[in-house]
Amino acid sequence: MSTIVTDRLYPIPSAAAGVNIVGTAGSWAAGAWSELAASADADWAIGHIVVTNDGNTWSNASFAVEIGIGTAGNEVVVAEFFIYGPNSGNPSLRYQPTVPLNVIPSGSRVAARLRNANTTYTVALAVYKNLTSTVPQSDKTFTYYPNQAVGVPITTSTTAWANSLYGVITSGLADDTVILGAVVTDQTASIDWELDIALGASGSEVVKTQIRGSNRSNITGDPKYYMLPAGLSVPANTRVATRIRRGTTTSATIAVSLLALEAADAPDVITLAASGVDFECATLQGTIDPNDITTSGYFIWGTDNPPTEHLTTLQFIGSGSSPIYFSEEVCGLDGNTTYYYRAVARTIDPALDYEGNIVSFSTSGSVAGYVRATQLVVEHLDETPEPDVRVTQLAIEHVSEPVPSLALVSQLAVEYVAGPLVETAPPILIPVPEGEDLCPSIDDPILFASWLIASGERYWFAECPLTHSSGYRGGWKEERILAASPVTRRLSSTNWDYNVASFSVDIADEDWTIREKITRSYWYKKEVETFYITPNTSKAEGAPHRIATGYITAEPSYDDYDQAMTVRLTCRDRVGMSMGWTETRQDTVPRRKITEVTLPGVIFTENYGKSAPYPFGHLTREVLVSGIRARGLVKAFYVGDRTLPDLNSYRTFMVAGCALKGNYTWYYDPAPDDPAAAGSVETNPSDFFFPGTAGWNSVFGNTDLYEDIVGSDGITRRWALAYGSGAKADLVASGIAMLSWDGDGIEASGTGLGAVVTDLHDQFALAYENLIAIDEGEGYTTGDWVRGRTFSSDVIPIFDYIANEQLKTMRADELEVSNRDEWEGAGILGAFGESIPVGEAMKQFAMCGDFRQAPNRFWQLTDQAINLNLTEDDVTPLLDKYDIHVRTFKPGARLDEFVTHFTYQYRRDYAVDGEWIQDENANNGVLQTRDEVAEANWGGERTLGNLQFQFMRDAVILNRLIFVIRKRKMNEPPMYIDLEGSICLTGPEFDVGKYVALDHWRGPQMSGWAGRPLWILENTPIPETRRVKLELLDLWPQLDRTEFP
Amino acid sequence: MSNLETITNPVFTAPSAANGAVVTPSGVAFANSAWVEVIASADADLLLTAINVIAGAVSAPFWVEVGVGSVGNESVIATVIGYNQQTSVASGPLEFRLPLPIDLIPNGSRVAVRMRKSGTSTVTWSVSISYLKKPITGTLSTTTAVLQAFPTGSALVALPNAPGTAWTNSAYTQIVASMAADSVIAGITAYFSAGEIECDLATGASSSETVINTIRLQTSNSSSPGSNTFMFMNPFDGIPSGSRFAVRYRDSSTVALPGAFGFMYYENP
Repeated sequence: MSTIVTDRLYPIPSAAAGVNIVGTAGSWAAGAWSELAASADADWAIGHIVVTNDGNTWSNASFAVEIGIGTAGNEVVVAEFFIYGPNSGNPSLRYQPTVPLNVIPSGSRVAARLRNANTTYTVALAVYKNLTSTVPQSDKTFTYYPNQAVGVPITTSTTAWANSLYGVITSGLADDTVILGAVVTDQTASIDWELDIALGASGSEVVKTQIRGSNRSNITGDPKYYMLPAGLSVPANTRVATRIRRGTTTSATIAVSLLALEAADAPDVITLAASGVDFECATLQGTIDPNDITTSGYFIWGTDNPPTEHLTTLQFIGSGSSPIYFSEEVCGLDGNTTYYYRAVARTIDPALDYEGNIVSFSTSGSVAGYVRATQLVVEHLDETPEPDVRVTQLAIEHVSEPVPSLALVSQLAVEYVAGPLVETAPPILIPVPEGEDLCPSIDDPILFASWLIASGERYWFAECPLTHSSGYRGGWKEERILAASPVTRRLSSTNWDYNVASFSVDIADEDWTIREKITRSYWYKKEVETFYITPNTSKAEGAPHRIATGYITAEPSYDDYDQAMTVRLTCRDRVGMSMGWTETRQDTVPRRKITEVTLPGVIFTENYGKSAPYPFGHLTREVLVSGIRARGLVKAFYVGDRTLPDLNSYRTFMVAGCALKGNYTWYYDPAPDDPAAAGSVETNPSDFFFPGTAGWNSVFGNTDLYEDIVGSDGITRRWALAYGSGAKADLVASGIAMLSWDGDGIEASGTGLGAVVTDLHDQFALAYENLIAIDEGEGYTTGDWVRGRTFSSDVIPIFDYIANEQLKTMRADELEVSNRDEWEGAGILGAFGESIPVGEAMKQFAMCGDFRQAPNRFWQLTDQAINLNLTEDDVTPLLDKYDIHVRTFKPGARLDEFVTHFTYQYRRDYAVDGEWIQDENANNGVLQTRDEVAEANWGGERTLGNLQFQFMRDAVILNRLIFVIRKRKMNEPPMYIDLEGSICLTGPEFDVGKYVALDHWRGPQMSGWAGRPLWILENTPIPETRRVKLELLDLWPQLDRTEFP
Repeated sequence: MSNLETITNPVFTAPSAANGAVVTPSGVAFANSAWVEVIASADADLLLTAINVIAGAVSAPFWVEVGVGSVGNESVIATVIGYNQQTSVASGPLEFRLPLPIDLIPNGSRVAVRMRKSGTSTVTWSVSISYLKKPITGTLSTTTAVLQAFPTGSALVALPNAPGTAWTNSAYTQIVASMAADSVIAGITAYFSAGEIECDLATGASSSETVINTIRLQTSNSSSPGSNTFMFMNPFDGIPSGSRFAVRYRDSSTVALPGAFGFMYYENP
């Protein structure tokens, strides 16, 4: 919002002397009203007034001119101008408030009167009519303090530039007020002075701003009002005082009045006490009375006071005139902690926040107890005693007292790993706190045994795979048996059989009955074979024991899919008194196997080593069928080791735990340019190509390699293994590992009926929500394996969304009319049971949903993604996402909710010949209409420098939803700027605190650079508390708007 | 609707708690004085909000400029034009409150002022500036456009005598034949002899002028230099690039006296 107007001023009266206003005797008595206009011919906003004394010398005294509206005898004052009449001369006095006073409705009778001057002056107005400019303005009464009194006398110091005592303007204003300026009536010699405006109690004044002026030998001409650059907000009941210092040792008494407007109407906000407070959650409550102002509400909460740490999502409150209750549950709180929060109302136009009172609450004890299994019924699956069991019954209770870790649940998990992943029916339900991500990241697995549950037994049951921590600890003293490695050794490079190598066991202090057992399992067979190599052997305490070498025969494998064979040595007390078997060493064939099943279902082995000859890991079948509800859970990963020269074709692979239906292509590089170099860039991206074909997983068309799973929601999903190959280093360093996937909704073998539409959704949903890449850290550059993880940062999904219209055309022959309606938005049943239009689905993808981005990578949508026909209505439901949308003025959809500062400038377009586009196309300042050819010829770009974003909260920036004032003229309204690309900025974990820099953008009516991406450097998910800053670094002066909510 | 711009940043002045910087005019008419430093090194990005002038006791149109840069490399970021008529004593205040604070003073910058005027008097003047420090907390419209003045360094544009009949329009006087850029008028400095005045701002070819705005003004007063300057609180965006800019006026007086006109503006490319 600029202060610049395009509206002209109109004198009232016009081409005529001002209207006489006649004062009356009496201190601050008001004279009679004199009519300025019988009926305003439009809404009038007062720009300034001119008061004259008809050629007479002024009275050297204070007076006021009041403007009123209303019929004769019913005038209501809408503006009060405090004026100090000069002590000589007879000029007119001009008076100009900071902002237009939009206080005279069309049709109003307008009058003026004189107060505190028993004489006759004349007055004229200059008004804006039907003010159209988007400028700050006020519909409040312009007034002065102290009201109907002379200015507060302030006696200045006899020490140059020493402060005077404070003069109290008011001990407390009745309403929230905005001070605009001051009238200072010094009449002494020309001396500089500074006037402080301070708020606060006597002796505790805080100077809020300052006015610089210089007094004059005589007050002639205009009344010396000094307007501040912007208003100073003063809450009701605040004491306001001023003081002066001057550049002289001569003391003088100077009168000061302050000019002010009543603050804008504000919603009434009340923060209510929180409800439902437990150890980790609470429901924040409040009411907002919008007072007829369109208002949204949210909460600010945190452990600080006043709270600043967290903001809840905006909720639309409305524009009524009664209190509206709203609430928001917040979770993830710390136990035994005091939190503070306040409700906040946010008006839309202007976008202002009105804070309610601060309320605190305290969460309950952080550790109320643990979960403990109280009943466990297992069924042994093998010979007795065996560690492999099937859990048939499990009960969990809340334990009031803390207990050590590794309770029963974790043992169960061990069993699951030790043996086959036997499904339970129904699945074992593991309680996790309500509100927690059901399947948190792999770095943060839930350890059931030590999971905290608050009193009140508030459980949230998730269907998740069990996890395990480490080896089975059935009460045996593991330290007594020390195993040496290796256990196994492959017989030859062509023979997949393995020797069970020597295995030394030191018996610490007791005699043992040792029985060697080898267990092996295969990922594709769902079975475990257990057999013994040697007969039972008694061994005296302390005596070494060596197992005879034997061998086991590996199953024929599918290419390089490992057998995930586990070799375990188990022992039993000779006298059989103890509780079971103890695993002394677990080893695998030198391939990766699954030893850890962690939420959310990403399976990876921990015990591979870089020295291993074939450090492969694979997703095992058990994982896929282990009861995971796999929405957004199954992830892709790739691993590799550039030190393995004989695995060029398979050093890198990816797994997408979803069915890739549609045309898809995996890219890979069979001949990486420089896989070893850090940051190497692939110079021949076309090397990466692994063509797929339409349909279900044609690359892995073998039905053994995918499986249709009926989820608990009744939806059948297909899970499959897909992989690309290539050198990890090259892929990662160049950022060029790509899955190019044509999600056009067209199924080559489709029926052409409505199901195809659903297919489209499936394509997007499955691929998008499930595709997360995981790598193994940065070892490819150093040779060191540092286990890490990478989300999509190392994979650049490029979804070539096809524009709505284009898709419709493509599908014209395929879809029946009714199904086209579905596409248009009548709604379809999504793969997960949602009813969602296809267009909406695409839009959600464009918004990136919960997709997370790591730094230094970018998420790119082609410009086609812009053509989603997003409308303002589309944005409205997304308020909770804090969409950026400034033009709608709908709740929670304003740019300035995010962007707290942005400057913008143009520079020359050198794309053609360095000429100013504007210069060449302007005619009296009006941009000429140009056809596309002309546009192209002229380029029409406005090249901007870097944009810097600082967000206040998590945000998603949509295409077309960033508005930047593209100024041809200063007063022009904001215009759309299409961002070529979408910035996924979600995830509070990415608090990198860096800028997002956009090196160029494109605006409407601009040609060239089509299809050129909007590069987002250091793409930064924006955490809460960050602010947005759009800044153009190149220089050419333009209007700048700075907003700080 | 009330959508005032409010900020919590305090206003600062330079020099601070001291008299304005003493500026000695050149002894050559319309020649610039030397630059006089008011801020050696800005301690933040600054927004220039006002220029405060105490005129020397000389009747003259004058220009005061604020520059940013090291000695010898000052770059003008604002020029204001005024007309002082007080010849007996130094007169003021002449507070040029900028309608849009100018955001062209980077952190670390040196800020200086200078002036020029008609005549050869070297009686000293005094200049101070007001400013805000960024970042701004609140809402504030600012600009990175330089505030310019017209004419740039000569007498104000002479206006013809008033017709001598109350509220009868004078002839148009061309102020600028062709504006170099879209311009936003920030203020005017004009001299009128008597009565209540309405001054029409117009664009268009000679004899085809179109009034784009009308300013209600007051009589100039020799002891009131401020009465000659009208700074818009809301600058007016209405003079397109290439336009001929002209003014006329009418007043309540029946005395035929001449006027003079100058104005301040931001270019709006």
